[in-house]
Amino acid sequence: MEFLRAASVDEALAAAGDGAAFVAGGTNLVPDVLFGRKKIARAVDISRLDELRFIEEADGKIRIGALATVTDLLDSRLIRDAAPPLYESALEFAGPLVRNRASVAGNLMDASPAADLAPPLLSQDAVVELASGEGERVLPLSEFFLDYRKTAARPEELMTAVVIDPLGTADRCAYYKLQLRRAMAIAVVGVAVVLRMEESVCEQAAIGMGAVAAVPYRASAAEAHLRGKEIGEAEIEAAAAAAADGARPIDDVRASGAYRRKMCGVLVRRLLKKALGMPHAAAV
Amino acid sequence: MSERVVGRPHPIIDAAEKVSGATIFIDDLELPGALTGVALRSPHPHARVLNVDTSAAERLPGVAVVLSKNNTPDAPFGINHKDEAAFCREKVRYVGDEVAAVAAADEATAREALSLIRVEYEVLPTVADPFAALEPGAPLVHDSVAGNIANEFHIKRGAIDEAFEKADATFADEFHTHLAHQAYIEPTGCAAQWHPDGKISVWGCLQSVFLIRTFMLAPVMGMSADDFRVTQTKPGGAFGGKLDVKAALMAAMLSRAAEKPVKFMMSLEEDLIAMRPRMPVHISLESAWKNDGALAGKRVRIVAENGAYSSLSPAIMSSIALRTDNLYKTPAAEIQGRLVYTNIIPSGQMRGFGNVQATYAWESHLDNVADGLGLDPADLRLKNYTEKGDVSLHGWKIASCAVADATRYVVREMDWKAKRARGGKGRGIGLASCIHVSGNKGFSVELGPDDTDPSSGVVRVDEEGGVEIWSGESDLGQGATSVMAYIASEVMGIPVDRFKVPPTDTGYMPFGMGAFASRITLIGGNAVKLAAEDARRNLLDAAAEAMEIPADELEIVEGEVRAKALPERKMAVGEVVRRVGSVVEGEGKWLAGGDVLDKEKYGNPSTTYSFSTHGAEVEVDMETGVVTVLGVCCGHDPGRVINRLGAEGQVEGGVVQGMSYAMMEGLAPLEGHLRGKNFHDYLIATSMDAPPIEHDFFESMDPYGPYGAKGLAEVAINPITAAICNAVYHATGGARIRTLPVTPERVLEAIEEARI
Amino acid sequence: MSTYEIKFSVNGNDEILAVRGEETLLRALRRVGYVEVKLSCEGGDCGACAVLLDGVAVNACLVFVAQADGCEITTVRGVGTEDDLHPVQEQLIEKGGVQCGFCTPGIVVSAKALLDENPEPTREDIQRGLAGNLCRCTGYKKIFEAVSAAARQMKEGGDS
Repeated sequence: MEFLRAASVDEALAAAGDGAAFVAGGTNLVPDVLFGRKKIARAVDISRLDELRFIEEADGKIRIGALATVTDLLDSRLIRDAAPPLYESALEFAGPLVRNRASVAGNLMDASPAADLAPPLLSQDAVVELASGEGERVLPLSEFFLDYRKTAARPEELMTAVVIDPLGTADRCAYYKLQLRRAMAIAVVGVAVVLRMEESVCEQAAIGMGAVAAVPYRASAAEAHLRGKEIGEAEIEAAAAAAADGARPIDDVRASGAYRRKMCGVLVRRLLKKALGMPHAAAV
Repeated sequence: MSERVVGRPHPIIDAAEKVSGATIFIDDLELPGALTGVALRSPHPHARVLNVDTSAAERLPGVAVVLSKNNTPDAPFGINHKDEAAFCREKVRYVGDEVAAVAAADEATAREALSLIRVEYEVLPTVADPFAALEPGAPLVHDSVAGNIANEFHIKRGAIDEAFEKADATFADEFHTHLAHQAYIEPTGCAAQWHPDGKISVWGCLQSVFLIRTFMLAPVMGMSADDFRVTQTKPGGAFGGKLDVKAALMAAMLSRAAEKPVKFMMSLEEDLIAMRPRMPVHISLESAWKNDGALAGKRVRIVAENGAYSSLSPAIMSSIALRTDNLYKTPAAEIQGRLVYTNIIPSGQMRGFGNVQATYAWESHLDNVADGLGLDPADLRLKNYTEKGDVSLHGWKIASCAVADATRYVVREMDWKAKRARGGKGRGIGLASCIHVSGNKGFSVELGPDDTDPSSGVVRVDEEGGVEIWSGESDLGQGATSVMAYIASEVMGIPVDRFKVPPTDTGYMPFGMGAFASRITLIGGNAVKLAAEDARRNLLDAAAEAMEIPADELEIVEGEVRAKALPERKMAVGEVVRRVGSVVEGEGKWLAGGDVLDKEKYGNPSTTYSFSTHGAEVEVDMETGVVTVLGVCCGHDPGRVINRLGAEGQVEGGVVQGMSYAMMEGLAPLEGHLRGKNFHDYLIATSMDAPPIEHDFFESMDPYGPYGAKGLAEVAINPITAAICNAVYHATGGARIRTLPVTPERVLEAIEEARI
Repeated sequence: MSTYEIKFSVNGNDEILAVRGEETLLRALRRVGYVEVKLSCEGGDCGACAVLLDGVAVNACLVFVAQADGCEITTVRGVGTEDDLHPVQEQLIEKGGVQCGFCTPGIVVSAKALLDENPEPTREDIQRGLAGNLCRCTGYKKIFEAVSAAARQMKEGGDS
């Protein structure tokens, strides 16, 4: 395997393609190469591209540089205040040794169905910025994941930033990762919920789902039961049922598909209530 | 108790080298010129091996030797049944079975050579489920073993039928345990060096350097045990898993064939799929009771999963079958066990040796009984516990016992009565107890030299006043050798920091069976204590001559020999040795008490027995099934604590390891293939999972133990699984976990089942 | 096969080595003698290979060694040796936070990084800070006690 350190984004883009892969934190790619799960001709090291490591507020959006690490998310006041589900998912992400290396873009580019950052980013209408020698383009995260471990990024494209809408005082949100141990665990189900309220009416609803289909996705059918409504028990039940219906989970070593599907309903119900400050039977 | 050293908290004696990263583990051992050894493992659970073509691999530059059935003798080995070969011969029987091995100049070459070996398989139907294996007409794992039954027994003891006929109440339950790995962090490995005189040196992370020679290396390689010098490297955890280490055989065979040193390190994946994990077992229980809560009798039927080869599994099954009967006054019992071959990784011994599984089943059952009889689960146990002086139904002689004190402590500390009165709302508490051996005579016959279960020690004082202890018993990181140093320090009056205990080495150390069956503190500790007493006598005799004061008027204090009446008349221990002109030594040996069980499994297998009670408080999310262990409280009877810090470490480590087994672990076989092949699919408890643990010791001062001590390693793990399951049962108002592990999904199923 | 010459410092020693592109930092460190960095899972799951890379605690198995060109690396022996122990190491000894010792080098590195960042950690901070380091022997309790005591020692000593 050839190794090339890029000194700039342009240099990285010039080295892309022909079996090359970008490596930043390496937390997925390095063991994938070691164990032969991925064969790559050339690793293009982008880990020193400090210009891609930032978290900033601009034009009413939060821009997260591709190389911001998960630890950077935890250290960011902005993320903590204006993206609480993302902050919470970062807290549940692996352990500190991995968080110190793993980048936001890497978590998305790896395209695991259980990518921890995906549900909260989806719930905040994330858009990803992709660059290549041809130029730049932006893509909603909801259109980025195509299939199991397959993304809309072309091999020569580099993700440079993720842009999300900050949450404000009118927004209600909640996040939960169902896992088999309290750290260093692949999610059994991950759910992030964001509700934009106008008085008692839900103006916008966004529900990001992880580990319950081939890709992380927005539970649009569930959202439709909430958007434009005054949310009561009936709307919540309908949304929970739709979330469970819409899931396409598989059986694996962590849980059965049936359990995951059931948990989609339980967690969506619970997180909606939690977000809205409604009482619920069992605390998350 | 006026001991200076014993009973106090001490760091383990090699802690400084460990915290600074100076310890040399097997993978760190440098052997100049060593080749890298790797194994080709079966990708199939069950297949006939039609042909193994190693010619292309042999031709690869850098390859020194390729071994397979083609060029190794047919020398089956095994502790109970000689059912395993170094390399698969007519068949492969599990995914991971060794088909061939390569020694090459480096790892990349060795792995490339593996890819060049052509094996022609005829894939056979897999029999992965033990009940399917028992069906008539099931595929045979070993063609010569009809019905796939590796071992079976049926014992009736006491008036069992009458017990059930006259019972006020009877209860029945079934429990199933899973395939779980020791999951030490250090992957297993061994190194070997062939010498031109035909002898072989072996190094490795081994629990018993002596026994690996006699049950594996010598018989398979057609050499005598003495031809091997086996030296332990400090194991990075073992927990039973590094007793039966085929890597030693691989390294030794490759080294002999290549006539060069060979290092054979397993990857973590190989370790997880091809070592000897904890045996899965299916236990049916029936018990008969009087209304007042007196146990009248029990029936147990066991189907135990042997996997592809037997190893120590018959003994493990026997332990599962009989162990819990000795914790309670059991008037009668009927026990049936069947050990079944399957096309799964061979199961084996892990901390608890079957007792974790047995205790989970029986102690879960007891809480169901308590519920049925309307009694408090703690009271039910307290009514039936064995006591000092008892001879159990199976012939176990209880020399010391403080289990009731341990239980009363847990009840008191956990505010048991008040918390039991609540429950059913997602929060609950439960407890469980266990009994365990301190050494087991059966192993001495199966693995050792004869029926003596011996240990021996040598204590050597050098001219600088330093002391080295040689014991054939090994430290696995649990602090066993520190216990020896503290015992000898106590006896000899020499400060602990002057003691060294090197890793075990058959080259110069006296015989010891090794670290298993919680035997070291009792058996090894007694041998070292006797050796230290001998060395002390020899020191005093030499000092008497040098100081011209009778030995009985001398004592050793802080490393100095002093006249009792005239403390200013003194001589440093090192000086005494210099005057003698050589090293001053002491020797000791100790043979375990107890008997080898008779054919009906009757007898007293251990010198004495240890006890514990664990309590757990849990919170259960009734909608997701997620269980959080809020706290653990436990009491242990280790006879006497030698090193308080080490003893606490055993308890805390055992509890978390047991909790981890109970809640998240599993190799998760699916049609013969294991799914837990790395540490993100095979989960063990992280720091985030560790619950607060409160505990105390209840010292029964065993009459046979050194300073009254007996084993602690395994009583520290046995009961926690049942304690957690009983707490879940209490928290949920009746969700009984009958299949391990206690995953959220399973808890939710049990909650739903309890609602019906 | 492409090889690259890289330079980095390990515990203050300059090292120049020829590496292959796919070689990991863990494999390379062990190859040149830093065997205190332990090899177990090689997938970032156990933390036994933790080192400080320019002061940040990482799993050495998850870094291509070529990525570490020019970096400063600290292993457990750079944190402290037998005759010059770091408070974390001293307290691991005193409190009994070490048994087999295989995970310990990684624990020491993570604990040092934690205390550098947060000199007064709560029990929960310590639990979180060590969440990437598996220990199979101790049940973690004495490790938490040791890190807590090390924090106190460093505050009182004021020199570490």
